[in-house]
Amino acid sequence: MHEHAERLAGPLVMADLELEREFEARLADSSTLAFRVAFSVLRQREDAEDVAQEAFAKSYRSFRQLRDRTRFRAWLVRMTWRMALDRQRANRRRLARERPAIDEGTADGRTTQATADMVDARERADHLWKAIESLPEKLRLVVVLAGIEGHDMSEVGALLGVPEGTVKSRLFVARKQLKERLSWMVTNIDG
Amino acid sequence: MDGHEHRRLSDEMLRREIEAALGVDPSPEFLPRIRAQIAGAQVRDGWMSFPSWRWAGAVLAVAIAALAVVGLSIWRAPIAAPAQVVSGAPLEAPRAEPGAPSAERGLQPARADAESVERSLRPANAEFKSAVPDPPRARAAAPEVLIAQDEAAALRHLFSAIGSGRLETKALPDLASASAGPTEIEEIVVDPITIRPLAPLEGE
Repeated sequence: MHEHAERLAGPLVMADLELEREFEARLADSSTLAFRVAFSVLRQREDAEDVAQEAFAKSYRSFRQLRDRTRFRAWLVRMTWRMALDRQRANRRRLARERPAIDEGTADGRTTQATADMVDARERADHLWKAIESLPEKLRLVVVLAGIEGHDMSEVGALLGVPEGTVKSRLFVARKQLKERLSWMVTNIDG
Repeated sequence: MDGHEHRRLSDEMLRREIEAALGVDPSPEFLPRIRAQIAGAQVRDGWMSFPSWRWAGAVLAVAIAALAVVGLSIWRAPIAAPAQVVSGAPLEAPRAEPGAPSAERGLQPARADAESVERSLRPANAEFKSAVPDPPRARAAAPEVLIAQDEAAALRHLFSAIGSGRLETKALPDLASASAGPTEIEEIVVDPITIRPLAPLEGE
């Protein structure tokens, strides 16, 4: 009886182990990508890690049902992006509620001692992110994906499920808008 | 605006800026945390994570529900009880011809006999009643006459013949006593058997 059950369950267990191995490979391959996509929206390491982790847990639950597993990265990117936007909205609502308390807490004049370089770098990054954030969502996602891990046009197209030509034109428009908004940075970069 | 020379960013510069802004790596605990969460999910889901087992569970649940429905319908269905009906058809008593009072008077005993026969059959002339209360649908489907058509016709002929005096009721068996059930069996008295001794054979 036991042997019979083992024989019946054998293929299921094997299939399950194969799935586990495949998911582990995808996890190792795409974890940084998911984190960076989340970070591009949230700009908070902890929040980005939380969102990416949540996205992986969700994708693990649905991994068996995913018909075309070669599309895993695209699926993960879209899911992470959406979840990060949701988190961002929730954070903003929370900050709006807590803002008065924060202002009261810092009103005593105590500020952190930061070096001029750090302040400068932070300022530059803030401006860049604000410029990216002001882009329409389609352009924004193209810019982010093209800026992560040196993705080329075809890879970005595959992640977004759009033709390479579409990626190219979106990236062109996005960069044009960004350059206009960030022209003040040129001297600092050159310097 | 701020004293700097305003020049346009080149694509290359912008790309480097963006890559630098996005070049943030997750903490070393990031991957182990995901693995731990997934391992926790595996344990939590257990065998139910197999799609085939999930299907088996669903099929089992449906089968149990179907069995319950069938069992319930059998339990509530009427049990076929022995019918106590002879006929619901009207028993036609022969009508006397108008203008023949003497003949009618002569028929009166015969009519009384017919009535007595009918009375003996009356308990069975009631509507069909089952031992168990029938559900409305079963009652509606119950036929009005539960004896064969030819038997009902024969009975009508019989009553008609008795009513018109064509048939003597004395020739009929007593139906009331016939329907009274088996009579008690009298005890059979058996005479004691005596065994006579055998006569000795000749020459003994």
